[in-house]
Amino acid sequence: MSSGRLLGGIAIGLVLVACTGGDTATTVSGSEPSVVVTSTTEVDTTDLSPGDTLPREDVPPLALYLAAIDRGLMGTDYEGDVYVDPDGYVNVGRLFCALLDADVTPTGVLESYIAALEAEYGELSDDDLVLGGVILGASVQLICPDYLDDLQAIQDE
Amino acid sequence: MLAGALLVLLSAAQASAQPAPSIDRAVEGVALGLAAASEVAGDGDVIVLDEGLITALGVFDAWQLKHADAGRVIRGQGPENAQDVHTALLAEEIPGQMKKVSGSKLSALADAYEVLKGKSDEAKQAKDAKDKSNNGKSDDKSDNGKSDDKSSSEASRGQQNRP
Repeated sequence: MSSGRLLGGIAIGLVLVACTGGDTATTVSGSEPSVVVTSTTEVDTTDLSPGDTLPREDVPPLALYLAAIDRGLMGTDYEGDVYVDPDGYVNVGRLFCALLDADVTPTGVLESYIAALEAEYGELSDDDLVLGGVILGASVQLICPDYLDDLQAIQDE
Repeated sequence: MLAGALLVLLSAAQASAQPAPSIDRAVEGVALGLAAASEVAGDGDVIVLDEGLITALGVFDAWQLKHADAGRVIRGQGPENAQDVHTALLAEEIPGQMKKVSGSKLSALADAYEVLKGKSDEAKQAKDAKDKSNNGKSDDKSDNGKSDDKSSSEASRGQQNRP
């Protein structure tokens, strides 16, 4: 079976959006010189540095989701893959939430994920399996948190 | 006696050599995903940035622009728009978008999407039918007239203000 990182041909440019709107300004504190961002959800990433802080409402949940996926997949074959294919990861996360909305259990979601990939690729690697779990965990935590209790329950089983 | 002990050890070794069931590894991934999300998002009023989140913000902006170019503004338009986009993505765009992700194992879900979506739709229809049936029964009861809207409220949980 081929490795997980199969998207080498696709490059995602990091288009950094300059802030252009907003009625009020908020000062972002951090170890680096302060950065001023607007109160809208637009964030100018060009001047951000590690250690800076942003008000929670200024950080889009889907950006947190992408960062969480990246962190959760560190050390696996899929490390870094989320930034190559954000569409795929966002869509699968939303699909998982849609299945939970339709009363499919978290275990059922994982079983469907496994069945879908096994049908295509045969036996899955550990990292393939972890991938589905990380996506489900991050998507429930950050996209559809109403199912957190359900997700905690399957870990206790 | 020695043979018996060896047999026990052999059995234990064989048991430990057997791969964990797939679902168990996936559940371990769930724990990783939950932990990573908690670490990234924290629980305060402010979020401390690290290299990963700064990269994610840039990728998200690029992703947003891509969708804005298609006539949809994902963020900054309020939760109603976000819900519309979510609905549209589920209804129209996900299969096509996933098929574009050729090469990734995630794209395998594109083929399975219709099956999964069908499963989702069937479950929703069954739930709607059940709700309708329950409401009808409640209406028939002359003693209280209360309708059981628990399942319908649960059906809509998590769908409000979702990114």
